Amino acid sequence: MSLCQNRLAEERKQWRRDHPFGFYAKPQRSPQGVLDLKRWECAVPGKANTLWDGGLFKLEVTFPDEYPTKPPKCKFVPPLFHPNVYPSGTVCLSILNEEEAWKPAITIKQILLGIQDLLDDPNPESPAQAEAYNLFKRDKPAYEKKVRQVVKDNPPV
Amino acid sequence: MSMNIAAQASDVQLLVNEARSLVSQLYDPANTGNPAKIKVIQEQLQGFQKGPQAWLVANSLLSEDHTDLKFFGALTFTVKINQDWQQLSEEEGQELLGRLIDHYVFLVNGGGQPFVIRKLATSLATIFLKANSPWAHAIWNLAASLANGKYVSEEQCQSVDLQNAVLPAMAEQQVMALLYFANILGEEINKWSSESRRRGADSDRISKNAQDAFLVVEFVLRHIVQQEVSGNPLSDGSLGIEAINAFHSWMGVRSALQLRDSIPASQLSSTTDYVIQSMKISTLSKTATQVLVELIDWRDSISTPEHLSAVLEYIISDFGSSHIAALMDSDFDEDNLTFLELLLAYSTLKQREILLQPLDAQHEKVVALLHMLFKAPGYAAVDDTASPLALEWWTEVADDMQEIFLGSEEQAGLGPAKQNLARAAMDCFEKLKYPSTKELKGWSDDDRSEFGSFRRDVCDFLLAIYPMLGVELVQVFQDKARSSLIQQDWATFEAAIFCIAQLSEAVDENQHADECLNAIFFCEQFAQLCESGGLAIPDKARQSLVDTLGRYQSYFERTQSLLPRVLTFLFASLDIVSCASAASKSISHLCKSCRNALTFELPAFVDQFENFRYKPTATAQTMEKVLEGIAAIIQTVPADEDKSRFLERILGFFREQAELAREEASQGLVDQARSRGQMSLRCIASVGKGLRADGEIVLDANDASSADPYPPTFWNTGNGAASQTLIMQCMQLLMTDFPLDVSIIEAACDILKAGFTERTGPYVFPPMVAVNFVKSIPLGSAGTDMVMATASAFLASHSAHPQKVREETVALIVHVYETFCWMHEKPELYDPEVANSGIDFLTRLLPKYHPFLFALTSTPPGAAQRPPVLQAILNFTLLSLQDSEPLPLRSASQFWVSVVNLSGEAEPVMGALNDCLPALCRILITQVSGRCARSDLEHLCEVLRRIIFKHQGLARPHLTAALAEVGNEPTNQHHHPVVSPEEKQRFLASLLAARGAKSQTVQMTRSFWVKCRGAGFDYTG
Repeated sequence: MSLCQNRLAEERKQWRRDHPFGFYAKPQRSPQGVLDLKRWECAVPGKANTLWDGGLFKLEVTFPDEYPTKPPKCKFVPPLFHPNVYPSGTVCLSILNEEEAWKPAITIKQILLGIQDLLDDPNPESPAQAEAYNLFKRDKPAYEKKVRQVVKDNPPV
Repeated sequence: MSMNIAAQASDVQLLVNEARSLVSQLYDPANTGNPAKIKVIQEQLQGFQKGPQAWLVANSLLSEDHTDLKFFGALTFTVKINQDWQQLSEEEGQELLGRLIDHYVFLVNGGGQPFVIRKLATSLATIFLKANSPWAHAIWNLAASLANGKYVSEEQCQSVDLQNAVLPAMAEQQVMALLYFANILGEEINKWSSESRRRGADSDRISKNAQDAFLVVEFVLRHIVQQEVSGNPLSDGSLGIEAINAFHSWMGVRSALQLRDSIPASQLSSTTDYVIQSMKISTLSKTATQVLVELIDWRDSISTPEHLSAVLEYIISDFGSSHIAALMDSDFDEDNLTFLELLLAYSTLKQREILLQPLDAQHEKVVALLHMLFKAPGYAAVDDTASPLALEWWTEVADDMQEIFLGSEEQAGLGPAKQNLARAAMDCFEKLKYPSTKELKGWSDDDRSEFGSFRRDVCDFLLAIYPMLGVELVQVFQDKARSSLIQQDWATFEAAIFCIAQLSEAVDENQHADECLNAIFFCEQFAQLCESGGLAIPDKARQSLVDTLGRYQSYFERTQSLLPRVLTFLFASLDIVSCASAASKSISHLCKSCRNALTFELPAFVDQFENFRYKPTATAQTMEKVLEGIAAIIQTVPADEDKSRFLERILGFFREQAELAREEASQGLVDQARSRGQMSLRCIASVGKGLRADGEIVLDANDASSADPYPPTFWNTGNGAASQTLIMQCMQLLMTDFPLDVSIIEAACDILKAGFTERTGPYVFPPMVAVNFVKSIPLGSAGTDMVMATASAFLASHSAHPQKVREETVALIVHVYETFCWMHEKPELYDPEVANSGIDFLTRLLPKYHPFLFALTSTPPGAAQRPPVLQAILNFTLLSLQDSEPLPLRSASQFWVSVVNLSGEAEPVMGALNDCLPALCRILITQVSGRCARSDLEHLCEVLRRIIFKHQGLARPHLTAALAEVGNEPTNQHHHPVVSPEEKQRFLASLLAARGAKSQTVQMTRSFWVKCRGAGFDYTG
């Protein structure tokens, strides 16, 4: 097995042993039932006592062949209303950027916890979508209303 | 250091007294509520520990009677060794070691408290780990000293045999203290193992101690096991537990430092045996089992076939049975779960043998246990913690079997594996059953979530075994679903239908399971259930059924005769709170994908909708889904006249709602009015979405045939105009003098966009409607980006014939120009969203509509004091390149990239670019010279590299001039370091040499930016 596959198998084991409450993360299966360790289905719950509380947001995490040298790509499916999420759903976060804070030691658990933190604590320095960013900057009540709607549309399963 | 205590006694005594008083204050219960005071005391004590007299103070405190003082003395030694070891001479180090061992022996023989002994053991371990430590045979040396009653030098103890002379001479408490040390030393080495590995020289010293540690462990365990066998068991398990833990930590050392050659498995065989036997001693069982689980998981060669068969014997012995019996009796204590882990670890090691080869009697029992694990009472993950572990094991097995299954032609040998996997699916089926509403009330949110996650894991398991079991698997659930439906056993029905839903992704598209599905959905009881609207079925089962129906779209497309009953059931389910959302989605899916088969049902569905729309579950979300589905069926009605009748019925309702919303607004009920207005517009928009012709949306780019962009049709001049009028009225009612908000604007945009992809229909409005809509949105409203995106979508829909919408295009450009002028004239009106969305709009129109923009070289009528349109727009986009807001800067970069790209093809564009080039170069260079934010760089670089690629010759003098200015401007407020002219030259030369290559340009620009900012801004590893 390659370094990437080994590491992912280990990540999977670690996640099963210990994962934060309310999250899920597992490699996808093809319709033929075959596991694809390089594509994971994940979900991040909104943090308790924040605007995002009560929502469960699904993500697709794709690992490149060069993982863990290069970071995985995390994409909300469907795309999420959030200042740091690109219209495609891709998350813009320093620990997911090879040129910024990515380190091979960062685990899937840390990534998902990082994304959970980002939900309620957007980074206005690096906007990724105009819609959420503009509302966040100029009309907080409307932003919050929209977030509440997004939470409603993404109930935990 | 000097250990000459006498000479400094008086000074030291003062310090000791002070330390003593501080320690007693630290542990004084009266101070526990005073963290501030504790903090001050701790700080003072830390001062002592690092001070020059700390050796003497520690030594003195260790001799005190009071346990807290002794402990603090030991701690002080550890701190001081860590800090000052390097300053000791060899003799001093040796002396310190001897003294500490003396303290240790004295402490142990005097019946000292374990926590103090352990602390002192840590100090000793710290000495061992120091680079030039004088201590080689630490364990042996300490053992000999303990046996001797005082410190013995290492040379002296070489002559006494550890195993045969020293250990037998030691009292139990001494052995215990030796194990404390062995354990701590092993753990410390493990902690530092990465560092120790670097210091390769030490591995010999560590290896010798590892051998001694294993020797001690073997000696202790042998003794305990013998006592047990002879009927004189030790009353207390602590010695055994300590020995097993020492075994564990030194096994860790052996593996981390790769000592397998110097300590071969054969040498550890009997020790491992004793650990295995310890599982049968009740006080040691849990610890021994945990350690063995880990050893098996490591797949360490230490577990020989003999060891494994001893483990197997234990698993199927009475000991194992009693653990399993306890689990079956809801006793999920750690002891029993540890046994479960052993069973699973062993079974993982042997999984291929167990599942692929003929079984002996012993392994048959193991397989029986693996199935039994699902039989513990209670709800999985809520009460029963065994089932999730068993499920995880079976899923891993399924993945492994699948690898064999997919990788080989020969599948005959997989028979037993398949049978076992199928059986495991049946085992966990029982565990899927959902609790009753009453039971559920007693559950916390965590319980629900854990149970939900178990059910999800079961789905994963089902999908993993489906490739091997095929339709047979679906058949099993089909049987269960059908029989439980007949008996109205809803909990079973829910679980069965849930499993069938999970398998949909494997079977819906192909027709493998159609017969199974037919057996359920064509049965009489299902028809009755649907016709009664599902009166009998409880909510949870209904919810799962609704979900299943939505997941089998392709099946229902193939089996259209079922659609009426299924949709009737779904419509009835809209009234149930927990099902409404899923039902509305399923209705939308099924109506859209099977629209052609449902035309005949349309009147009934519209009736159903009219019934539903007043229900409490009729929210904007559910209604828009249902309407999208119904509208998709309307789209299939052949005659426009009939279509318009249905539409008028639906739209008429929303017109009433829009009027109601206005009334509410006029009464000051703003929130209520907004949500009603938003609901109306969203529903109208989704009707428009549903009405779109089936299939992919194609913007016909080559259609230039008809001369009129808006030819008369049934929908704008015939009877269908009534529908269009209703839509326009709703928009008017809710967009003018109404408390707008962003979601209303969004819905209105969706209504307009619904018609852009169509040639004819009620949603295809005169082109000026889109322009007027854009102009009607007040400057500064949230949602401007959506409005401008709608304007772009409008232009895109006419891109096959730009000339036909020239007037509208110019009107939109002039609108953007006006907003730019306002913001330029009154900076307090500046709004980054308006800037950004306006620039984005202009960028998007460039490819097809640039001739219109670049022809606007005069001032529009009535704005004489303003600059010409094109000039104002270009200026604004240039200024935006230095905006402090990230979005306008990015869209302006994008705009200029497009302009530069176009400049080769279009003369007027080239002319305009020529005029702007000096300013453009100046702005870009100033920005990348440390002025812009780091995240802006990649966007600005994009413009820079396009310019260099396309117009290097033209740009060169401007770039040179701009670079010369860098650092000279009086506004260098950030006091950035000034880069030398040579560096600037080098930067320019390499930029030009890269000829616009992306990664090189970005990289060079980034380093130039860092240079200009100062190195503190570089990212550090």
